[in-house]
Amino acid sequence: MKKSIGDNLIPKGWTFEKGLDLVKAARFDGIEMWLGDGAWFKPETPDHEVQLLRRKIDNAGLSVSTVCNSLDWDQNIAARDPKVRALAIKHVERQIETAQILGTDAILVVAGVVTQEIPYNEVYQRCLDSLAVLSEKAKAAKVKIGCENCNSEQRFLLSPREFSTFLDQVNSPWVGIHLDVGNIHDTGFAEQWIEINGPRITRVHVKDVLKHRGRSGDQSVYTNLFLGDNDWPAIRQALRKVGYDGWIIAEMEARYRFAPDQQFYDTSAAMGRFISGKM
Amino acid sequence: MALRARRPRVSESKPAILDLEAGCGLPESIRGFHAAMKSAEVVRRVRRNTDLIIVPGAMALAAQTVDQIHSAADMGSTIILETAIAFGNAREFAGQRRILSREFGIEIESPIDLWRGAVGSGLPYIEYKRPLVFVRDFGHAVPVVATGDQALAAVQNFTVAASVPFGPGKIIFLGSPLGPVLLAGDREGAHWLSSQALQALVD
Repeated sequence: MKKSIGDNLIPKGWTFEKGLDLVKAARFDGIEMWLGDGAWFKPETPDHEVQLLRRKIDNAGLSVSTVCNSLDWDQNIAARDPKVRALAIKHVERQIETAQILGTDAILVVAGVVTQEIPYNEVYQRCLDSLAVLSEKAKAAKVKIGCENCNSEQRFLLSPREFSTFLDQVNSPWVGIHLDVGNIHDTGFAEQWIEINGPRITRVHVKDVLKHRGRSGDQSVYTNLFLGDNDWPAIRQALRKVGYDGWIIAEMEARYRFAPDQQFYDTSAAMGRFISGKM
Repeated sequence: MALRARRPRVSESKPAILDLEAGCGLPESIRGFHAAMKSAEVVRRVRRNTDLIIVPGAMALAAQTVDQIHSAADMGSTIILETAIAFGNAREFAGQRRILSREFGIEIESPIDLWRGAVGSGLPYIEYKRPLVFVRDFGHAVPVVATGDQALAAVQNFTVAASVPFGPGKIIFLGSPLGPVLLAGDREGAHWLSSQALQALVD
């Protein structure tokens, strides 16, 4: 397995180049690019500037693990408004295009957000419709779409079996699951998600979570690796069981308040221990 | 000789779902109506003598569409006209409002956001009449002016569906999109639609 971390974690005020130096110094193998997050990578960033980003990444001795986006929460592929949905399709298509330029074969999409206003069945159907369109684009580009499991935030596809059934219905080898092992805190166990969805895992996000430690004991709180309640040996075993040997990508929701660069070194070291099994 | 009660005539024509193509603002609505009414045919031009015509997700009402509705109503058909104009811009709304008023005598008002300030005060279900059912909303709805029995559905004190007599036929205007809700499997919505269909297909 190879280690990556999101460019969205580069400390505020740093340049992309300085961030890449930090990622390399912390011994990561790659970087995850977040479309729409950093100033350097927007949907409107032209191809030649994306090529320039790739050159900088290559020069730093890194690869691109994935292209994510920070836009799905406002422009979702299951949005009711056709105009908003069209914008969502457009930014996902741009992810696919930039993934090709950046030399990676996977993107992340948050497919579907259920709210009190927009109910489950509607979101489900529109996700299937939108993914039917996008999977053709993905197939042509040979880039896989990984639908992330943001269980609590999406309130959608809440169990590993349901996610599997959903992917059955999408029925495209170009659409899989971008599994976030830190997002399953209140609804199950990451290792079971891995077992059930194994061959369809496109990438793995890692972070840890303190279950039910919120103010009233009813909320879970994200934290750095090994500080929380994820059963990391079990997760590693499950990944081995299903033969996953791809990228694991740090997506740290909780940031260091001081010395933010230190989080890169600590996270990379923890991921190294996870990969080696020395836990 | 005893008088025989007249049996209602059941129409043999299939209901038609009129695909407005570029004029449809909610293509999923076509699929929703079709899912709820499998016997219906999706058409781009309505055949003569079609007793029930559904026009899903109307965003732009072209002259040809208006003519088809006129002709059908003149033949005594029921036309369920669902607007998607809540998802249009101000210019599109003004255009549809003008056409509805001029061509069919249907007066609509600016779309309302059913969820503004709604959280915590219950779900804004659309309350349909005849039969009385509660159906999921679709975020925004277009109020329609209707009096007495013409009012067919309401939400938050706004009438959002109306049955408007038009010659020997009638137009059922839906200000809250029903098709997408049918596609999502809303049973009560499907029940209401089948009741309207039955009424249209039986003399």
